[in-house]
Amino acid sequence: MLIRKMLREMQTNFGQFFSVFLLSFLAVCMFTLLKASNVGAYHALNNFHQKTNLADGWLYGEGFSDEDLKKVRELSDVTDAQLRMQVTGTSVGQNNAQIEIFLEDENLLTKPYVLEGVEFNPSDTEHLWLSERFAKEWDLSVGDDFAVTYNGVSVEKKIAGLIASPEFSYMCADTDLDVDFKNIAYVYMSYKAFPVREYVEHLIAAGKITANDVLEHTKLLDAVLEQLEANGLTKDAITQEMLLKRIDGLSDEKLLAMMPYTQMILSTDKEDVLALENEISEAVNGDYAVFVDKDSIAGMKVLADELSQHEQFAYIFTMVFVLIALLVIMTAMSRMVANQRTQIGTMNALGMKNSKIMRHYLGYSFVISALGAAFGLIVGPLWWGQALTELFVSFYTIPEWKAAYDNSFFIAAAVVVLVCTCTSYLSCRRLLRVKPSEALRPAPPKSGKNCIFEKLPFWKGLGFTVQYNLRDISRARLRAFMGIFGTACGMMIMACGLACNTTLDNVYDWNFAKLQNYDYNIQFAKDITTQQADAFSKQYGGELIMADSVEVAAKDHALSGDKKTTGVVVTEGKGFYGITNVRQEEVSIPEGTVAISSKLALSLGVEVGDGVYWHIYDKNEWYRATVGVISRNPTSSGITMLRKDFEETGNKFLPAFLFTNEDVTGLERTNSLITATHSKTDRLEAFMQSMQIMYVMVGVLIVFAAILIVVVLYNSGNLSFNERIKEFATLKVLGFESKQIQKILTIQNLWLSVIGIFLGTPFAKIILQYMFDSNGDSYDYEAVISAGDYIYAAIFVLGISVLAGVFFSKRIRRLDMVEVLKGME
Amino acid sequence: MSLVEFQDVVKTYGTGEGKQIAVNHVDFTIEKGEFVVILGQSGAGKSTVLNMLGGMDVPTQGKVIIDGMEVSAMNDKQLSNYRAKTIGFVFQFYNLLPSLTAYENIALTKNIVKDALEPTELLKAVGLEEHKDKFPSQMSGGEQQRVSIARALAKNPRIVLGDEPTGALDSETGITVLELLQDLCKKKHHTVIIVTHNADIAKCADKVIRMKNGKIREIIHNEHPLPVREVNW
Repeated sequence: MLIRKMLREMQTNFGQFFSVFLLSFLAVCMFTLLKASNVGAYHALNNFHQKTNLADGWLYGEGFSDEDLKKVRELSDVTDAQLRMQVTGTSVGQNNAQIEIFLEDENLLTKPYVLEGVEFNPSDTEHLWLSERFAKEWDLSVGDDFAVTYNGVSVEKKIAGLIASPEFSYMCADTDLDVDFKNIAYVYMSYKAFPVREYVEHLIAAGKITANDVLEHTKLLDAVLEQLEANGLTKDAITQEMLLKRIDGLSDEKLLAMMPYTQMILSTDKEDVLALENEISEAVNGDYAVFVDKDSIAGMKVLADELSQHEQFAYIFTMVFVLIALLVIMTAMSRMVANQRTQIGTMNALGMKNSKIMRHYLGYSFVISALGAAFGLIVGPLWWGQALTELFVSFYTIPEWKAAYDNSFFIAAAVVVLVCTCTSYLSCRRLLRVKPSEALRPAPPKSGKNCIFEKLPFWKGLGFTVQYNLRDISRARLRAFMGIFGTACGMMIMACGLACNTTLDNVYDWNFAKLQNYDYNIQFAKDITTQQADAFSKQYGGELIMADSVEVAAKDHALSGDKKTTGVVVTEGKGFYGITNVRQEEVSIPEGTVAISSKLALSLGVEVGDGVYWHIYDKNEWYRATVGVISRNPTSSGITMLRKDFEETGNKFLPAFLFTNEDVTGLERTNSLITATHSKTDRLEAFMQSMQIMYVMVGVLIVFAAILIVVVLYNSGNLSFNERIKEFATLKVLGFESKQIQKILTIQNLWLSVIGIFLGTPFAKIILQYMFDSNGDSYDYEAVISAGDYIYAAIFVLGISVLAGVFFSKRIRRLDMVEVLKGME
Repeated sequence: MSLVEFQDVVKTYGTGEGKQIAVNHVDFTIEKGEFVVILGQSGAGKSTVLNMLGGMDVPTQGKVIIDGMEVSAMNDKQLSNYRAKTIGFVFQFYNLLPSLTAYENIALTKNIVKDALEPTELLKAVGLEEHKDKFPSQMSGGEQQRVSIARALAKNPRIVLGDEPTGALDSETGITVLELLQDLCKKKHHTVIIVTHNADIAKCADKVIRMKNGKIREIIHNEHPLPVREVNW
């Protein structure tokens, strides 16, 4: 019978019950939405890393020997290690796409994850393994032929497998400004499958390798040199023909010395692989460039940063929403039970046990909130979370990435249900303590007392509406707090959402009006010489730019923990490549100094005038430079220096780009030294494309804030109306017009909204900056909130407040005084 | 012309089989300055009559004319105005605003009518001058009801309506409240109409309208109404 009562009352009070259902649903849904995607990503990543036996450490250098490998393997903390070579080539038949080629003769670590075909076999010299996303883009399948070129040498093999590698969870071709799987791929093949003889002969014939290079890096000419020296000659006497003849007489195995292993990857059981750097350095006699962990592998770092940002979003915003939802649910449930006062008194008077009455009323909130939470547990991860995951999958590669569940989802759902049920329990317990005879009568008036506002000197001069509302607020503090807190959070998130657009507009202007002061850019082939690049510069005008990876430290001989992997940009100081300071003002680098990006400067603890130490990522020599400018760039971090200063260190200036105002469109089709050209339009489009996820996030934020504000203000008004319905009926009987009563209600809602707006406003910028900072060290967006953002957000909040007032005005007009006052008796 | 005229008033609730007749063809008049008691058991229709008198409800049929104005034909705004200027209401459960003090509950009427009476004077009249800063929760039921009467009087209404005004009070407090209401008639010449099921109160009234099942059973004109204190409660 009591179940029937419950079901009928749910039907009668559908609105109230539905709002608790909706809030329980939304609270769980919001919590699970972003997290489901992340949990799924971490599950899939774990699986991915485990199946591929992902390495823990990457040692880069100019060449590692089998002896080096043996010594590293002998280290007690190293569980396994292997050598490999990575070179960047281009595809032959697929629009010269960038192909990262891994050459291995054993594959113990970072094995390719095979999606189609057979497992990678490093002894198989007839086949290669190609990245699956590229293959799908170009309709390539297992068994097809695939050709790549590297340094003028072509290799064509049959595809044995389509693969994925955790090192390329994120990948973007050097020629691209955004992810395009048509333009980048990676290939795994046997070290021995590479046509080393053809390669070496080509390099010698093209003059890219001289006898000096061979002598410096191998022992292939040692015997020749000895003979020459015996005849009173030097190495300069070795001609190209002699070199080619000598090469001709060597076996392929010996020639492989010309293609040294440039990477050693290793695994360890130690938590922090970087702590092994000293031991490893000793094992390879310090002959290496850098030693990094997976946090420095770009393909993994970008994804890790993105996931970390989602995590921040999930926690901050959903926690705020869940908190507000719980607050609203608490007040709504409490009122719902309080409205059952006479029924509880009646059941009690009829002799029903308190425990049974309690169970009955707990059932209301339990059933409704459990239904809402269960629905949220289904819709959040499986529908909305999956949709979000699918969006991310279009940018990142993690096999089997699907939205997934986590224990925290069930805990969150349980918390929501528990809070609802506990609220009912507390309200019910309070009512069950009242004697049945009293419970059958209307509740005594809430205790009134002087409120703090009465101490105001002008209190007596305030009108009835103001005094009445101030007293009401001081009596119903939880409701008022809910209104203010909810509106403040809504205002904060709404301002953040709107300001995301302003910030992106700022980044856009910053990039295209101050930093990229050119109309076209040419991207050079990797093997271009300085002279060739200079010739292009002379022909088209503009500024040559070199970009490379470096390690930077604040002190000399720094160990891994004190070094930062970042980028170096070498400019000619002509202003095509703009440099801005932390206030986004254009500046130039004083000669003899470097510019260091503000985030990097902060993490290294350096200021203008301090010294920094740096070295090119794959070169072993370190240099000292003085900080001349603290720069800020939204999309890149690192150090920037002038060509003159760079060349003075003895390094070769090898430009990657020419920034010019001449129209160079299509030049890549006629000149092999140019791999790509981009116009300003291309860059603008790529920028907008790269902001796609951000705009989705902005959309989610704005919708989220709007829901929050509507829910909070509606509930605040609803609670205020329902708690004061008897008072309003009395006022109406006394002769107050509906408009006057509506004014009372609207004014209070407006006050709470205005306070919320003022409290939420200062936090908007802090949260926004935090959001952008969570995007990773490579990005340094300055959170910009315009007055318009604040004003629009505030207008929205106030608009909803007024709309809620209009909604309740109808209820006030229709208020049945007789029914309300009779019901109270 | 009488101050109050009920002309063939019918009030029904619901439709079809569920239709209930709360007031069934009721006619009566009340003169200015009369102390009238509408008497009846629960369900007799007396509260419905009072609600229609107070402009809180409208008849299904018939006319309610107060001081020459047809209340039954008024719109919402006119009814608000009517309640504000003509009627003072005293409820069984006082219905004071809990967040306002005794003084402020009375002063509230200044927001309703321009010429509201001074709350301090009214509090003095109901013997609660010293309680003016107390909130309803800090006062006894009788004190709250007296504030409620003071609030009703503050608008200086033509008619004071009381819906079981002593229903929630002990007998001694009830007597004090009734005395106050009777004095309003005798000394201040207000018209007071009380709805009650307590037949003893009828002994104090000038006119008693006895109702049963929505109809008027009888209307008694009491030539010698007793002072409240002389009734054997």
